[in-house]
This record gives sequence, structure tokens and C-alpha cells, in this order.
Amino acid sequence: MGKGALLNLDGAARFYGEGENRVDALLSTDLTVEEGEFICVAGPSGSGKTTLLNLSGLLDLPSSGRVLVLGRDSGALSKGARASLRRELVGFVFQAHNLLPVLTARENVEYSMLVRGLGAKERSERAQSALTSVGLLGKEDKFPRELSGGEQQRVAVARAIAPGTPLVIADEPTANLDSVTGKALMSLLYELKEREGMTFIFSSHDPMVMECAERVITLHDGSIVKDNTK
Amino acid sequence: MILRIALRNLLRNRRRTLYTISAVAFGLLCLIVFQALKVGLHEQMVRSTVGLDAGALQIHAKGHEANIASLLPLPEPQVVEEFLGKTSVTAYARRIKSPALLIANAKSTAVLLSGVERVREPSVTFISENMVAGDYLAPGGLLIGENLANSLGVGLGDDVALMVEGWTGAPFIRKFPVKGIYRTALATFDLGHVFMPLPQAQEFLRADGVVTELVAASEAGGELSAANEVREKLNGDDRYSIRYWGEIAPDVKQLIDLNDSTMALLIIIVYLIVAVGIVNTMSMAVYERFHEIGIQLAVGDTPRSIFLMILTESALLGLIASILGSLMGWLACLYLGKYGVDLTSLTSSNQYFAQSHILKSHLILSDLGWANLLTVTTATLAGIFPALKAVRMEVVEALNHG
Repeated sequence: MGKGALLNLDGAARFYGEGENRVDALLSTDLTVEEGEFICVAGPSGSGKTTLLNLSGLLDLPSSGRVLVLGRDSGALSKGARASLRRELVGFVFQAHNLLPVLTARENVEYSMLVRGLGAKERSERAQSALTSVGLLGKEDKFPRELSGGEQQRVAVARAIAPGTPLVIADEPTANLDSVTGKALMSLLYELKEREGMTFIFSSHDPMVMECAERVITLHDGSIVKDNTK
Repeated sequence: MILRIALRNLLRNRRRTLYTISAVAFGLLCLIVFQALKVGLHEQMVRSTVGLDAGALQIHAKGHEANIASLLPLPEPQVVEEFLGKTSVTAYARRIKSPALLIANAKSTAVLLSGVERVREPSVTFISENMVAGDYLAPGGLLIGENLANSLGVGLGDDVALMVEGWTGAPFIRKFPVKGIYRTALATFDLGHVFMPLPQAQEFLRADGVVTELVAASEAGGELSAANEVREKLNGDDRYSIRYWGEIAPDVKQLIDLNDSTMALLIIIVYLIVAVGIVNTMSMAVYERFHEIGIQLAVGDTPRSIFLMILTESALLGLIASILGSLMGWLACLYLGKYGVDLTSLTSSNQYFAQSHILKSHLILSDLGWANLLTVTTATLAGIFPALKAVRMEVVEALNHG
């Protein structure tokens, strides 16, 4: 059950281009996400999943309507303030090429805390704890090129959870993983949600991932066509 | 962390980084060597000008025209010498100069006769160091250049006739034995200048006790300030005319200024090339990393930090190239400063190489410092354009890249 509204989309729509070239990536959408939810945004390619996640994670602004994060309208914030709010509230896991290749696993995780101004000791402790929780003990000093795809995704998860942000957004986190690794990753995310009380919104069109979610929002051609809570 | 990321990013494409560093380092090497050779050339030009005849500065009676020999007497030379002793002038000597005609073996040539002090003149000019035969200013004799001796067909001990217009305006002619032969690196000077001891010249010109010129030496580079000091000391006394070497030989001064301007232009061109090279490298590097920069921004990094990271990469490129270029430049200058470049075939009649035809470099530490500072600054500034391009991107646009 939700503990309070974390995110509200109030008629939020996003289109690109103008005139004949206009592409409606997301039509006017209303959505409320409460703290502690474990949500899967499902739908075929081009249905608007990534756009919805970008708006929810303050990476992008709606062309019309509003996106409210903890009651603050993202459109009313300056670019800097929006970045600052994003830093405070959201952790990201992207589909692929998630990590900075010049940093080790530990440094990648620490980096997300460095930009939030955490001290060296705290960064180190949290990074170690996060990497341990995603099962990468002993691989902290490996560079991304030395890790498998699944391990890289787990580093990305560790990076997203280590700073302790209340919301983690993951865009198709299992897309490049085999089914066993994908399932293990989803179990890990759910465990973190249970343990840390974090809110997860992830996109996928993988039935296994949808199966793991507590709430599945289905998009089609830029519109929410189904919103099921288990 | 910024420094670590910047350094590792540079190492990602080692070949590209190496090419860029090599190009910048080579540009810097050329600049350092050209600058050091230019300084060496200018010092040689000044040394030749000062040491051949002009000295650091000359004092004449008011009304004397530069480089025109006249028997206009210098008023109270002993008073001027007292003043000179209280300035930064390191040495000085009295002279009398007159145009003359030298005749020997049915040949004649116009020369400038200089009566100079045997003891004090060598502290100011270097003719005494360039003797090839006989003695420097032996009493009763004449000191002539080797080229002149050869062209007149005379040698040591042979008599030559010298004709002058004396102090009274009457012409005088007398035979003098050649008692000394000198050779500078400037053939034209040797052909046109003859010397004898000052008292002998005064007596020959019927100008007993007359001095027409006081010539002084100073520390290298301090000629103008020495001249200004002398001007200050003689302030208000309008009987004197004081000129430093740059006024006596304005062609040398102008050529040095022209060289400096040309070098400045060369410096601008080289640094423009350095800047374009680094802009190109960094633009490529940033373009390839748009997605990563998007990740960095999404993770929470600030545009300012990304901007600094790219600038740090540029600065590191410049710094490494600077160290490499300086090291190579310093080694090249060490060699050129010791062995120089032999320009004999190009400069045998060049007045700026009167002392030697070997051009040696002189690397000034402050020049090296400036070259390094300019390289690192240019490299850093060259990073601004790609850095701005990176931070102006929207996060989503960056993430979608690649």
C-alpha cells in the first residue's frame, strides 16, 4: 500500500517537433505514484514508456500539463533547481551503457554520492554496502569492461540505491540480460524496495518483469490503457 | 575525481591523445628554439654593434651628427668622465676621429682614422682581441684591417701614407709603418677603419688635447638606462650630445624590433594551430561521450562540474605537451647554445656578425615560462567550446546519443 503521493502527472503530455513533423510521444496523462510502490510501465516499443519515465525522473519537461514531484511542479523550476531536485530524489538505471567506463565499479557507485556532496568515508561505506547488496563483493575494483552485462546492470542498481534517494527509475533494466540474470535483478530490486522502502518505477515489455511488479501501467500509442494494481 | 576522470578519459584513445600532445609539443619546441635563436641573434647583433665601434653609448659635443666624423671638440672631457664614474657605465675611453685617405703601392682608399686610448679602449670594443699580426696600437705606427692590408699589398713594417684634413683645415700627409693588423668577422669594417694611439692622432691632426668622442660600455641590456643616467647627470648642460647604441645604429634597433614583431606573429599563428588542434581533439572526445555526459547529468552531476572536467582534460593535454615540448626545446637550445649554427657562408659581410659567424641560441628562463603558461592557457581555453557544447545539451538529448 502507498504511504503518500510522491509523483503526480496532471495532464502531462510530451510531443516533439512541430506541424506535420510533430510526434506525440505521450498524450495527456494523469498518474499518481505513491511512496513505496513497485511499478512496471509496460507497452510495446514506441508506446511512450521512456518518455513517461523521463518526465517522472525530471530528465525532461512536459510540453503541456504538469509533473509534480513531492508537490513541486517541475515546469516551474529552473534547470538548475530541477537538476538539484533530481539529485535529491531520483536514482536511475538505464537500459545499457549505464556506467562511466573510466571508473571502476566502486568509483561509479561513489560518483553518484560525490555529486551529492557526501564525504569520502560515507561514500566508501555506502558504496561497499550497495555493491555487497547487489552481490558484487570482490568485484569492486573491476572496470565495466571487465564485468558481464548482468554485473554492469547490478553496478548501475548499486549506484542508483547507494545515495538513498526515495525514487529509483529504471528504463528496461533487464533488456540486455538473460532471463536468469534478469529475474535475479528484479528480485534484488524488490528486496531493496521491501528493505529500504524505496519507490521503483521501471519500464519493460518482458512478462517476467511485469509479473514481479505490484502495479503494472500499460501504455499504447502514448496513452495509459491499463493501470492494474495486484 | 574530476582529475581522475579527466586523466583516464585522455588515456581512452591513446593514439589520438599522443598525436595531439606530439603536435602541440612540436609547436612549442619550435617556438622555444626560434625564440632562443632570436634572442641569441639579437644579442650577437648588439654585441657586434657595441663591440665593433659604437660602444654602449657615445658622448659628443652638441651639434655632432651621428656617424659623421668631425673634429668638433668635446668640451671638458675630464668633467664628463667624472660623471661617468658615478653611473652604471662599466668603462669608457677617449677618441678622436677623422676621415682620411690611405695610400700605398700606388693605390689609395678612404678610411676612418680613429685615435684611441691603448689601455682603456679594449674595455669598450673588441678590436684588440682580433689581432692577427703585430701589436695593438704600437706607438708611432698604424693598426689596419687584414683585408685592407691585403688589398693595398702591405704587411707588417711596410709604410703607408695617410692624408687628413687637420684641426686648422690644412691638409697633412705623413707616412706611418704598419705595426698591427687586425681581423674582425666583418670584412667591410676591416677595409675602412684604421687606428693609432690617441696622442699620436692628436699630434698628426694638429689637435693637441682635443677629444671628439667619449665612448662607454655598460652591462649587456643596460645600455639605454646607462645613457639615461648619463643624461640625468649632465642635465641642463646643453654642450653635450648623448646617444646610446640604438640611436647610433638605428638600423640594428629597428631590425631587432621588426624581428620581435615577426616572432609575435609567429607565436600567434602557432598558438592558433595549437588551439585548433585541441578544439578538434576535445570536440571529438566530447562528441563520443555525449551519452556518458548524459549519464553523468542524470546521476546528478552539475553542468559546472562537467564543464570543469572537459576543461581539465584540455588543460592536462596542454600541460603534458608543455612539459614534453619544453624538455625537447631545452635540450635543443642546450645543443644550439653550445655549438650554434655556422652561418659563415651567409654572413661574411653582415655587420651583425662582426664578432662571430656562429649563431648561438640563448634560452631565457622567463621566455620558457611564458611559452609554457601560454600553451597551458591556450589548451585550457580551447576546451571551452567543446565544454560549452556538452553542458548546453539537454539530459535526454545526451542520453539518446549513441
